[in-house]
Amino acid sequence: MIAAAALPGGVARAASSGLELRGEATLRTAIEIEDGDVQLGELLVEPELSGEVTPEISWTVIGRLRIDAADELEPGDPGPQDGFRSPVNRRLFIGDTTDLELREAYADIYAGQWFVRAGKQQVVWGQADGLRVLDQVNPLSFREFIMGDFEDRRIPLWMVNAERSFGGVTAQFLWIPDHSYDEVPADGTYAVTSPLLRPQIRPQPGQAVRFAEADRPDRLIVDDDYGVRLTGFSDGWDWSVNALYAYGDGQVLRQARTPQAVTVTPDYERTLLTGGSVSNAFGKATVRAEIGYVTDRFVLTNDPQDTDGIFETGEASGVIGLDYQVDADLLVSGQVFAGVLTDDAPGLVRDQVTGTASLLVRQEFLNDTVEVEGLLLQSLNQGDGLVQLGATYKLTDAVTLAAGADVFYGNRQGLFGQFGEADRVTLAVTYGF
Amino acid sequence: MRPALKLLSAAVIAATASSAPGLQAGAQDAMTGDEIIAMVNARPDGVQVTRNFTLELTNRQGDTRREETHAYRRYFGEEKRTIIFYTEPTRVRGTGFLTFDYPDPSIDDDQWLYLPALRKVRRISASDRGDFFLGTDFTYEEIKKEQKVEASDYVFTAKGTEMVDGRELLVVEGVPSTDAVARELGVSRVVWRVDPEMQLSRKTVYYDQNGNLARTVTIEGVEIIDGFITTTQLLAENHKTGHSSRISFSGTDYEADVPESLFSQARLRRGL
Repeated sequence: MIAAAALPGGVARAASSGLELRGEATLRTAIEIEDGDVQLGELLVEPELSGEVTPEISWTVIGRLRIDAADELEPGDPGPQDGFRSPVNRRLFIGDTTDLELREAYADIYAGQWFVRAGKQQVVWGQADGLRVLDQVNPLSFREFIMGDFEDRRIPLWMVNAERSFGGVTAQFLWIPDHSYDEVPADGTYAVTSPLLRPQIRPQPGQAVRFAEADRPDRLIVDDDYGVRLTGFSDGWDWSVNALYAYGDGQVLRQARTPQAVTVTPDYERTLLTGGSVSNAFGKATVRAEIGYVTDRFVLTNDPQDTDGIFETGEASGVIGLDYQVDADLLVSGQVFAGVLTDDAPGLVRDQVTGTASLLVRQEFLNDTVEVEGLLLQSLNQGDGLVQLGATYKLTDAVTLAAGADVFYGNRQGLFGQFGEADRVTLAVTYGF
Repeated sequence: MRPALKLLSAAVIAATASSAPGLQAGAQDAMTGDEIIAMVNARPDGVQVTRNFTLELTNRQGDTRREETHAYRRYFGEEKRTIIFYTEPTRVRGTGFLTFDYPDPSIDDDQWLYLPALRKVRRISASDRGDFFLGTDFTYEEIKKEQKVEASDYVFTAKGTEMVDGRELLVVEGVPSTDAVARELGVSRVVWRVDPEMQLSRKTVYYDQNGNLARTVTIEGVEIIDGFITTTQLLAENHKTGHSSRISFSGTDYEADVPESLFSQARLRRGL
């Protein structure tokens, strides 16, 4: 039962009485187009339990049970992948095919003019879709590369998220003591092979190649991440100003060479991301833009003079997007991303200026019960890309059917092209309870 | 309705009717189309309101989907702000819709949508007012205007009276005032059957730009709540697709506090 409740600080909220259990169960399979192999055979159950302590305090806990009978994405026991996560943010593996995860667990607290969400959660910044400039608060799982909803791919973090409005401006403060970072499969279908991300080590005869354990930040307060965001709405424009003082979520793969061995030691480096976003609507069009500057970007280099194979520089990046609502049922959306390293050097594996473009077309039919969409992601440097086609049908209030295809193309050395053999078709049925 | 409320309702209806323009006994037939629509638009709807509404969406085969929402509306001067949170079913739970509706019809509304799968508040364009609202058979214009009519959109003509379900209703026909309005609303003609006691159209029929019968919106329930004439159930039937949408309001409360801070993107993101 829902009842409206007025809360201190002039905030009204509809409060649920008692406990509430809901969630979704999804059966999903993916078949590789090239050889017909089953890439994914998954049952995903995500129950959500919520309740309230007082009208000012409520809580939510979301769990995840995943059974992937195919076991191709993280083959075997992927226990070492816990290296990407802090001890308080790890999945529990049961055998090779099953894992359990506490996805989110937080309390919402209204206290005077403050709203505080404390616990394990996702925080999303920025206006871009898929192309991330400001959306850097939570790390990502690359278990299925970049396929799937960000909602499912983000790794929720333990943090305190406090918000307060000052007139027309809302300030958000983040304290993130959870030292978890991007989770990249070491093996399996979407293990990274592109030289843009993985150092191409050519050892001398007799020289071994070793991968050391990641050197992860672990000091409380000193190694924690902190963020501030201001958001507002002025003269028709939504705007935000963001700052995130955090360890980069990607590993820095430093090399150390001795006559006997080349040792790669992954570590994480502190960065400061500053930037902002704007959006506005003009008739049927919506313009979205965000820019950011990262003080420290660590780029792989093949320069033999470089001792650790890493070149440090800053990077400015931005995305501009245009959504055009042709009619209530048809959306066309285009985005262009550009990143510019502030310094260049010989041997860098990536260009000083990189670009990615995206084009999304989404059509709804039959009073929104059927949705068909196509998404193109195109690297403007390597010429590779990804085409995603999908259709969903809301069979009943509780059951949704989905089908799709993910097709990579282009340069096999590129971010997308490296997975050229992983093209797939997908089928899914979701039951909401 | 509780007996006490029924008595109050009758008193309010009588007071409202007697104070409405042009409603003196025997004078209704003399009202012009503009006057009838002005009477509809003069219906008080409160500075603020809190309510739940249930959407039942039925296709040509008779299959029905059901969605439940919780909504708040408040006037800021002449500007009207509305926030709607979807609560059922699970697949749409958490979806939120916020709109700032400006009194100047030449200024587009500002609208935002929160989609849980994105965890982002997205600015969305002010769709053509005649587009359908989130899969229903109601247009954005109808959801926004709450059984009122943007008078500058039409040229009205009174067409006499008509008995419907034992009530004598005032018939008004409107044709779009400009070609641009006709395109935006997707209509060539609209016929309202206005209940002078309730100051709203009991049955509204829309004809598309080719002059074909397009939709009928019927008010199936009206009550007086907290002194305000309140639609409790209405049905939109799309004659082209065979699809229909019924909205049933419940928990309507004009007196509960609806703070200004509720109508924000931050609140849209946090949800109920």
